[in-house]
Amino acid sequence: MKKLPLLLAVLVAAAAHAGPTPTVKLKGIDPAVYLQKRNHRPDVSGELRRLPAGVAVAVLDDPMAFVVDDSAYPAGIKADERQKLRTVEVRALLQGALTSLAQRHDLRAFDLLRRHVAHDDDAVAALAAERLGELDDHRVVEALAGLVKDQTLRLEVRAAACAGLGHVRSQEALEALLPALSSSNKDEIRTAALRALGSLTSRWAWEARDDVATGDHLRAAALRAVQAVEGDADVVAVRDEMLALLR
Amino acid sequence: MRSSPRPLRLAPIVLLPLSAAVGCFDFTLVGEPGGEGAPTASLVLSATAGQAPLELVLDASASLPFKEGDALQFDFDFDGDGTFEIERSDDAIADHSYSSAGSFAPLVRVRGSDGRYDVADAALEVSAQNPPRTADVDVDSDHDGRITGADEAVEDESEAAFFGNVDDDNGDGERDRDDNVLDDDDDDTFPIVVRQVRELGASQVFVQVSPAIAATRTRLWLDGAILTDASSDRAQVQGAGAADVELRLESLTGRTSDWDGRVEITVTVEDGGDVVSSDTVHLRAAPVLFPDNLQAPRQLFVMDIPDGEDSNQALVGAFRDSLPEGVDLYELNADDYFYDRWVQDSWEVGTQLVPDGDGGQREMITAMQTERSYGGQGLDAFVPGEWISQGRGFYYPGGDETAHNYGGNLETSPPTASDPFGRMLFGGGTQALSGARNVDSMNENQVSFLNAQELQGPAIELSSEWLEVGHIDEILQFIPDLSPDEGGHAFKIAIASPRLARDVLVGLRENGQGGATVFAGRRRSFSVDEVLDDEEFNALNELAQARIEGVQVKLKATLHLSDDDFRPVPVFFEDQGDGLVAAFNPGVQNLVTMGTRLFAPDPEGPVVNGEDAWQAATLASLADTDLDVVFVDVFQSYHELLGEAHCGTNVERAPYATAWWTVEK
Repeated sequence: MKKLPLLLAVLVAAAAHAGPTPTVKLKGIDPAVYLQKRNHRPDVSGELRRLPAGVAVAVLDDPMAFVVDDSAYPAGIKADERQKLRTVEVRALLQGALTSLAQRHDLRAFDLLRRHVAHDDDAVAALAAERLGELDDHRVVEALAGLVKDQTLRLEVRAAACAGLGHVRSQEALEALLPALSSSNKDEIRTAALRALGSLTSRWAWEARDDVATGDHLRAAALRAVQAVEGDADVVAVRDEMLALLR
Repeated sequence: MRSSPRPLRLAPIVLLPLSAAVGCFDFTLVGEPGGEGAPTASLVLSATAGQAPLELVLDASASLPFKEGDALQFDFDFDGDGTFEIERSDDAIADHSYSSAGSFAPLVRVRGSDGRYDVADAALEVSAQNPPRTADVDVDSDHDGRITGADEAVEDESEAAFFGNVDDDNGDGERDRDDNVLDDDDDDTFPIVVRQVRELGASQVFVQVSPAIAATRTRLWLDGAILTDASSDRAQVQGAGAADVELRLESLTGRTSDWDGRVEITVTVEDGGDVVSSDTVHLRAAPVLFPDNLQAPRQLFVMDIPDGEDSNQALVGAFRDSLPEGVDLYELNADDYFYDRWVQDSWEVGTQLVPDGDGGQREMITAMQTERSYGGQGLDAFVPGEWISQGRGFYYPGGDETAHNYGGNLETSPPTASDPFGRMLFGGGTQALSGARNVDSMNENQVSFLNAQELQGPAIELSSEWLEVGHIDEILQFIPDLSPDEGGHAFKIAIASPRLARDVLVGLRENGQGGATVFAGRRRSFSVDEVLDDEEFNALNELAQARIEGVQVKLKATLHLSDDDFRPVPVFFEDQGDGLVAAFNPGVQNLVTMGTRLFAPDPEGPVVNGEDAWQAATLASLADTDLDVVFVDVFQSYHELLGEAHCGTNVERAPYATAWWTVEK
């Protein structure tokens, strides 16, 4: 679909980053803007996810250089509330930058996403893992499969890696997901793998790609694997939801 | 005690011919009681119950002549048998002694000088004399709104009703429970009558509140002073040896997660520490019951945002023009609340109900204030600051902050055979559409509060954590069905359907309309082909469809519904950049139900041959409900800010007619 034209403000921000402090605000993390939204959270869906690659890299390097100063908050917001907002603004900046790099298929994206899988913020780390699956890079499936298998990692990262494989939509990605369905895995990983298979084999997605035959082939393989899944009520509920989708 | 507007068993009295005028007074009764030109009768008793022999004062002095200055005369019938023991008295007050037990309906007939007249009666219960030194306490155990001799018979197996005193009768800006004052005008306390103990002598009368937690949540008042509270659950009742003593129960809360609202009041007669006699009555706090969308609307709340590109005048204008008769429109001032337009989210309106003494129910409109911090500048300040008043109060369970707490994430299903007051529904879960973890739900305090009310619980959690805002109004809404099939429910569920949205576009493409525009004239718009050819967008929407169908499976199982109870409306979702999704087009199901009219977000689908294809699909889907659908532009005013019409409104509705104390759950 069409992308919005980038805001002039973003370009100015990019230029300003050469100096010590940006002089303009990004709307997505401007409290005067995002506090009007229903969830009161910084908005990743606008210009943040469409940052120019150079700006995105700069954001990942030093997100605090892009946040607004205290005067941007409405009068009456207490210091502890402001600190909470600052935390989610930084998260939004990082998520936007990672999404932008992934969707632009930037050459630096793989390494930057891979690095951010270790980020302290679970939400940032998980998003980095999932966005890996959107890259057009031959290393993606192996990297994501490794994340899924690595039991030393946080559940958030491993589940997001499953989700990332769901975005790849290939035979290799499907084969990398199947071991995650095993009952030797935690339920969180198994259900993530089930949903990822739904994404990977989405009939509507394969129709959009105009390759219904490959989609049908993958879906049949996924259906066989999903039918064999057993587990507790949570796993069975997700399994049944995916069976309805796959049939 | 009451002045009665009811015509009372007076047919024989009306027919009674009376003599001609004496002086200027006409003693012939003219017309019907309370008819045109008649005075207005009032009767107040000095007590409504007591033990025989009971000395009573009957006071009709508040009666009013039809014409100012017109003299009145009074006839008194002490036992309500149709015979007036006193006739044509100029004195509005009469004394009478009731020597035997029974239920009486003393009556006054008030005559004007032209013979036109009115009557008023009152109920009186005279109980038999207790044996000496016997404890006896009565409450409204039979739920008729009065304490009478009939309560005694059911007091062991029945619980009298009361509610939390959380409104603001005296306008001091505080909930009445917090002001440590029992105002004269505060009728939100409940009577407990300790009967006179004859021949008390040196013995003493005590009252005990139990269980212990009930004593911390309630107060007993006597003559404007606190008798028991959290600091003391037992007290001596002075004066019970001389006459009946009326205590007032004030509750600081209703039912909570750690208190089921039950109170036992035990009165003892004690002699030197030994209990000579005791009597116990039981009471229970009313639940807060939240009405569903089928209940009659009384008042609609919306914020008026008159200017700017996000002005909501299309929605406000639709309400100003098209609200059903009898529904008030309450427009909140945007400047007062930092333009926080999400009127749905900071509170959920319900009702506490008790018997009213007239065969009906007395209500306190009661909100659950949600945990929704807005720095004290947004609508979190509305209920405790602007809305609270006499008859309008609130509870605030508190807890952790998350958008899942908000009112948009809370709905009530309409009553069914298994759930006579419906069920509470809220959203939450553990996974984004892709399978990535996203653990979020309504906080435990709020869910516990809902479940503590019992009659609409246990609350059902539906998957909504995959949504950017996380509210179930982003995927479903209960609407009336004005023409249900025989044996079917009187409601349907309008439910977001990416499948329907997509099927409409596929149909257009197959008819050569792939270039038609979605969101024509908006800042961003798309051709039908662009939408259908976006691989990730379509994958995401197929997963959203699957998730929504999972929600349907759960609703069918828990509410005993069928596929026919759901009505799909065309709604796509889109990625918000952080792994969660929000409605791509204005979410049609996020609508406002006003009686038989729906104010639905305009989905702004492709227009072909002058017809919006998504509007047409919506109307076709809802056609058999016979509802009137009004599409409203909310694109920039709400949709682009992650909400729709329902999110921007709140509605006070009539409470359920069924008395909660008659329902087992």
